[in-house]
Amino acid sequence: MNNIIEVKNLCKTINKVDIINDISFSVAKGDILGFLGPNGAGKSTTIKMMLGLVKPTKGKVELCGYNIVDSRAEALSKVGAMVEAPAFYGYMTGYQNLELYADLYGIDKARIEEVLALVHLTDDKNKKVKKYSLGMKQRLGIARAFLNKPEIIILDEPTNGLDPVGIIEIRQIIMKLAETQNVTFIICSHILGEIAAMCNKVIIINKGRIVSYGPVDKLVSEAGCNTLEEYYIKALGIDKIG
Amino acid sequence: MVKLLKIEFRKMHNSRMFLAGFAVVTLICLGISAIELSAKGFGIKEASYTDFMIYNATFVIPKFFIPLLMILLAASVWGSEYANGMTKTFMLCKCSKTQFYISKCLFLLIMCAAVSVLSFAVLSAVSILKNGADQVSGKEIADMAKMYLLSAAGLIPITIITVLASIFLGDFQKSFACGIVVLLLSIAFDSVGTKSFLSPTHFLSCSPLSHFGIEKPEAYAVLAAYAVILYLAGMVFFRKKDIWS
Repeated sequence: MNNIIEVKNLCKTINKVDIINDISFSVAKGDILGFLGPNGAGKSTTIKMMLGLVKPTKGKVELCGYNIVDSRAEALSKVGAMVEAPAFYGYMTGYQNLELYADLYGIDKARIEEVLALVHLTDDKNKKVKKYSLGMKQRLGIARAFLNKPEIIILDEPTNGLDPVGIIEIRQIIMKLAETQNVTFIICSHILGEIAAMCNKVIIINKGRIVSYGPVDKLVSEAGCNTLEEYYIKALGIDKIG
Repeated sequence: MVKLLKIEFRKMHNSRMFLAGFAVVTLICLGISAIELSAKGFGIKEASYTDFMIYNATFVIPKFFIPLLMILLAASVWGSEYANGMTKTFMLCKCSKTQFYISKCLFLLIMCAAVSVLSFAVLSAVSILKNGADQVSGKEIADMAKMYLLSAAGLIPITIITVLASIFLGDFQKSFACGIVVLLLSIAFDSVGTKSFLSPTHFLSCSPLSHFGIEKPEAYAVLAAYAVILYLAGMVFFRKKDIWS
């Protein structure tokens, strides 16, 4: 199988506490992988290690064949990401903010218009970002992740702050890009319904370890559940409490 | 790296900080010159161009105001961007940490030179206007330019110390406060004793050159050592540091 992401034996220890403990998984090209887990499970830490923001204590991450620690720039050239709340220069417009990254990547200015149209921010592109709503900033963050036509897109809570229509639009964009351009997605979210609607595979992580990993349909059916939510609760052992 | 440097200047341009910062430097220089020339106590009302420039080179403008502006800028460029997540966002792009660090430090170095040149230009203009252009020779202006440019070198240690504080603390207010504390302690140390050349802010007052001689050659070695060691320390810490937010 053509695996575009390889994570092997990833560990992170801080002050002798194992935050992430031996996580391994691989993602094939074109997959939309959902990354689930309770608060404090280690989802964001894992994502940050995959993106080179945090150095793993042990283990290896390869993106498009490049080791994120040894060949960081090459690995990240094929990746677009939005981690936690997107950050922008508030005194600059949405367009100007994207222009900074377009120049860094050597991307034509026409691409900025394309991604802004994709997230329906064309009419607000000349407004200063400090006047944007949370949902608009979220869309701009997604637009920035798409800017360099990446092969891998990692989104942390992409629908945070979006209204129901916006959530559906982002879902449609993600699924269209995965289908037509074979873009690989990793999506962290707490909204199980969205993960179930978008993702073909899911990882459930808890206390720094992988609890479950595989195709959504297969996991749900083999566990005798009807929905991803039921499976999630079962996988975390929450139904055993009380 | 050139692209990252261009981004720094573009950000400054868009935030109008360029104009505001240069306006502040100009106003400070003009304001202090006006006080000096109008008040009797300073005793430099009739000073020649050289004396006026030397007096100001060892006075509060290069010793305090300009370093204060550079500390503010360094804390903003580093600490503020760490705190608001912009550093994390840039680290998600294909630039290396080393390139990112070098481009920001280079930007700050250019700004150190720019504010020193500006303060020199404004003070020279004031003195020349007061004394008349025929009273000032080209050699005098060149000597003073050299002295003021060296005071720009004196800004490097305090600027990089603020950068280091920003990398460690990841916060604008804390790194700004740290820079101010180091500046005040250095100025105090610089004012006493024969070992003042060990202070990181020794060159700010241009005192090694105040008589156009190289009184303490070791002062240059100490300045270079501060600049190189602090710069490399910053690079090592930044490369090793995890970016959580």
